[in-house]
Amino acid sequence: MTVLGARATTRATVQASAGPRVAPLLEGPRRPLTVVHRGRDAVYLDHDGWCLGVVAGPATHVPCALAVPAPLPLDTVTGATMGAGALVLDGVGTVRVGRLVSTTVPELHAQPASVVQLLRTCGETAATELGTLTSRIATHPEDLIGRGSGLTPLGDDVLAGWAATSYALGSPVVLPDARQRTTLLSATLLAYAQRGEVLPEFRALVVALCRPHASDDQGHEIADAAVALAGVGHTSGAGLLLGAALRLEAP
Amino acid sequence: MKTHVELRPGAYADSVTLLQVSRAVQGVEGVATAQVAMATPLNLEVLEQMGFTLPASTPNDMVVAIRLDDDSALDAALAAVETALTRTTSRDDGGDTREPHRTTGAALRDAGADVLVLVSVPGASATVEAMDALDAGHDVMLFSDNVPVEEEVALKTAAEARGLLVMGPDCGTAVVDGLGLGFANATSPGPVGIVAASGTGCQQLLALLDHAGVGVSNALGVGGRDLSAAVGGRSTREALRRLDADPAVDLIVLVSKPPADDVANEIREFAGALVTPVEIALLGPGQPDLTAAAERVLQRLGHAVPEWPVTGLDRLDHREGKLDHREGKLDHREGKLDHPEGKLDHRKQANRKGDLLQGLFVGGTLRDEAALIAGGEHPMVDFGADELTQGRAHPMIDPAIRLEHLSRVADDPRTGAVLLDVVLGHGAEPDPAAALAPVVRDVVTNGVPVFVSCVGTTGDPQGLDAQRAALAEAGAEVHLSNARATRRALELLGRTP
Amino acid sequence: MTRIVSVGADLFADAIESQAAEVDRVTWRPPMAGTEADLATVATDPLRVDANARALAAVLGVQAMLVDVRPASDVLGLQPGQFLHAGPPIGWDTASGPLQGALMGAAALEGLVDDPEQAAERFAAGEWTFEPCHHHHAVGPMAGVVSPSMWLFVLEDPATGRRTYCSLNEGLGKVLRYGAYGPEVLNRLRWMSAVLGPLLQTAVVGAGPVDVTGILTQMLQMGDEAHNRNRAGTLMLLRDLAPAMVDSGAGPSDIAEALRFVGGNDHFFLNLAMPACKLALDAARGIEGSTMVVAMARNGTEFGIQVAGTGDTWFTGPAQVAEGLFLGDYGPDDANPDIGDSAITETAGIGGFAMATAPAIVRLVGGTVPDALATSRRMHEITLGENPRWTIPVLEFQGTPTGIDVTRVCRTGILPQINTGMAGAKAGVGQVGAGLVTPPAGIFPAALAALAERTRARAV
Repeated sequence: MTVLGARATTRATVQASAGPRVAPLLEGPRRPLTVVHRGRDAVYLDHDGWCLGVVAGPATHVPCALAVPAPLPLDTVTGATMGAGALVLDGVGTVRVGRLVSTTVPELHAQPASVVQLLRTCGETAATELGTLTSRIATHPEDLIGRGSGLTPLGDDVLAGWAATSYALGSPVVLPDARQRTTLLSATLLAYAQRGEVLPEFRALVVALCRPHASDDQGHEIADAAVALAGVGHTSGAGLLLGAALRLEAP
Repeated sequence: MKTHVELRPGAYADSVTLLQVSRAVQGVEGVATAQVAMATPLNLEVLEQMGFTLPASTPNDMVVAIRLDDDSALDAALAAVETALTRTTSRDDGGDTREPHRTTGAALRDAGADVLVLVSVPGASATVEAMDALDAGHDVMLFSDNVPVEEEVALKTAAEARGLLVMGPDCGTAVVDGLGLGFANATSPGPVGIVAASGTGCQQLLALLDHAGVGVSNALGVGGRDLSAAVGGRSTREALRRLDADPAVDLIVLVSKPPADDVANEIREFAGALVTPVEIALLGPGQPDLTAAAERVLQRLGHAVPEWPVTGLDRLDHREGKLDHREGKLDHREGKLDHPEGKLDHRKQANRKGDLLQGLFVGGTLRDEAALIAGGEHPMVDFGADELTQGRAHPMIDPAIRLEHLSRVADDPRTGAVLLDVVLGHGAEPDPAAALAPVVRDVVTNGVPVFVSCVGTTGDPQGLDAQRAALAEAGAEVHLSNARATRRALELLGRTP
Repeated sequence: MTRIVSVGADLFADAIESQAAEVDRVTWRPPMAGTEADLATVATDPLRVDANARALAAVLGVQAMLVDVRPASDVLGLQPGQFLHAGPPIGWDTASGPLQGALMGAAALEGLVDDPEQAAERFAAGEWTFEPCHHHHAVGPMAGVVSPSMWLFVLEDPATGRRTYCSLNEGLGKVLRYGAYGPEVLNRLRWMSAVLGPLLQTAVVGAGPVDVTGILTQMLQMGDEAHNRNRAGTLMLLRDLAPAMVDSGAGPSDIAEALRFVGGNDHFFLNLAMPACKLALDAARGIEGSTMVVAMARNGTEFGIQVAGTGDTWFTGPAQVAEGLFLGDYGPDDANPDIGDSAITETAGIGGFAMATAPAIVRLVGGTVPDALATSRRMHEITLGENPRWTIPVLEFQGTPTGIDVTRVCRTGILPQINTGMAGAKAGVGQVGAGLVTPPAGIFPAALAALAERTRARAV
């Protein structure tokens, strides 16, 4: 594994993977971007009013981000310039897209109650925290927007899971623009979720749910995927799982 | 004219690396010629032909052979050898001083569960490394060729028992969840899955589908011999199973040269029983070519079939005075052409009596496709074939042999036109047009039209547009479709099949 | 995200990294000359993986208990004129100085001659026989000569009742195992048979079996590697047996002399470490399809290995001279080629394989601490697994590399690393130094060829 320390990378170029919606954003004329959030393994920028991220090392591969395998000192980024296929992060280095990945959930059909129960169980912490706030999710999604703390409030995670699952089931939903009511990152992820674009652990879960319900192996696969998703972030994964369960339960 | 020959027992580098080292030394001022290689029988023969006298050696020794124009350049030349060798072995490992693993098995002890092993060691040692992968429960891609068929069967039998996939042997191309392995093109995610018993066949499909805006997330190679009677399509079945189980794959394409009849029937039956529709493109006499297969795929997906792109001036057919131009003006009164990007003097064309289409290919399946379309009388060579790659780098990495042949073939009076493939993508050389364009220009100026199928996707590192433009500027007619390029060449020769 | 492991051209690993994916590169080198075909044959042997797993499990599952101490005539049925020695089979003419000297001394010890010098021509004439210790479930350090009157440690695996044996360690200096045969050597040996052996037997029977495997586990955490350094092991043995020795009913001066003898010999425990390792490795003998080495042994002239899947066949080649440090004025010309069954410790994953745990030995054999760490790591490249009980603290308690795999040795060219004492080439000189030595490389392709032949025969 190549480790790029701060000492070595000021002018280095790193390759990133990205979904097909993010990759083309790097083309076009050079323009500056401002930093909206920063963390140890991730930096989030404002691009045209929406969030574009760079995540490195072990950070979650949110669908609106470029993902670099090796760790980078992203918490030192103060500004960025993007264009002509490159995203230059001041003081860290240049990021280019080396590979396109699929971020979209495949087509999904109704799931048996046992599976939905499994998802609910893995999403338990979210249910406990939000209580009855999720009861009107289908008719009043705005109840959940911005509810909770952190870069992606728990209410948004539940809503994102619900919207992405809805997309997979063939009935995409239109959510209100959340940018005034929650973090730019979270609002962006809601927009992506409406179009079925999700993080890889969520996609893996939907893929597992898609396979013909035949064997023990498939049961293991679903359980493994659900557990892996539950491990994402503090409560983000649980929120996504609860959202998925809620949507699968709905008629 | 000093000669320096040195044996380094126990030193080792792979053939691609040694090629780069040799080139670096050849570039030193005062060096007439140089070769750094492992002392295999083939390399020894080459060195002897170059006029070097060699001491007794074993294939595990590295040979450094240098001939100097200027005797005082020896130190610089040897320094270049060292620099080039150490550059290729050292890498920034973040200060980790642990010795790296020496076998695949040892490396896999540290790895997790979701691992794929890529084996590209010489064929005689490939099975051993591949078995390490299977023993540890991982799929394996065998780029290596010259693996005996009994070993292939043993590997695939072991894989079958464990539900694993062996991609290969002699599998040059794969795409796994968008990651290109071996010689593979940059793809977008999409609904088509490919199962390919042919590397460049797969690459042609990737290129055509990419141009049509259809993505391919997974292209699983099965090795050129998988659909033979001896192997029976074991990897093909597993690959089909995998893609069938992938909910994001809406259509599977199976591409191969004609397999044994029994195997073909079994595979058709197997494919027919899958949930996902399978387009079977078993190339061969009377069968649709790769471009036709791509068009079928697009039709089945409900996609419009685009015009397959051509870059560069269509050739003037001088014998019948026909013109078919796409760019620039033509003044054919004296057999001259004025083109905004450079003049081409076709007066020499009147001397051209040759009517053979000479095909010089780096992709085996592209060569086979062209040969099928053109018919047996037109010479078609695959420079990537086993016999021509023993102990040397594949022509997609080192173009030297083909370029040499190209010049010779162009001088041959029987030659009426030349057909070439240029295959882009990961693993291939970074700028194929750079070395090729000057030779193409010479060939064209001397009255031999050149047709190129430039197989690549928009995301390929070489820059598809730039490569096409450079070759067109040199006077070639550049297609994306190998089948179209072949037919155009035949049309020009008045030999439409 | 799928991780890639790439073995072969760096070009492809580079291409993967340029696509924002991580790749582990294997540093591949061509295998030992001429082994490719046999490696492929054995690699595709359907029995191999399971056989090796069973072999390793069998070895790791053995517990070696010291249950008795008895004369060789008793437990091995050795008759007058019959002797055992270290290493693979050998004839008198090719035997080196230390081995000849030890046999001569043993002949005198048994009363077959008055003067050891007289024994030489009688051995040469074939009047008496000598066979490898290994052929009789035994091991011996250095010359490793065993004769009927010598008392032996008896080790047993309680789960199976299998047993192995080893003589009692004489100490340093002029001793039989280095080929010395003077009166003081023979007198000491007589005392060991008359006093030490019986006393130890009473103690062992009285105290109950001693868990030798357990002592080895602790030793490794205390700076011993059980081949060149056995100090902690010796002291732990003494702690276990001393009370019972005192209670034995023997005379106080005998007891005191025995305690002094054992306590003053830092190598005493070697003669328990060795049969404990053999007991474990013998559990894998005869497992068809297994490529695991079950014995490495030297007779001063040749180095031999035996492999689990090839029966009792010895694969032999010239024993090497160790490289290391010399005592006093001695130099390389004074050293005998590698000798002794003590390489059974490396075969079982300790000794040189656990060098990282014994920094004191590292200096003795002329290395540095980083060398020692690197050696232990390198041995993992050629072994089947790790020993979960025998762990090395400085390597983050990684288990010792266990189960030398013939195929991995041929593939990597990495030879098992042995820490050894060096015997003087002239009989009786004693230890002249200590250092690092490896087997001759050629025996591994030979063993591989035999394995491949068996694989092919089974496939028919």
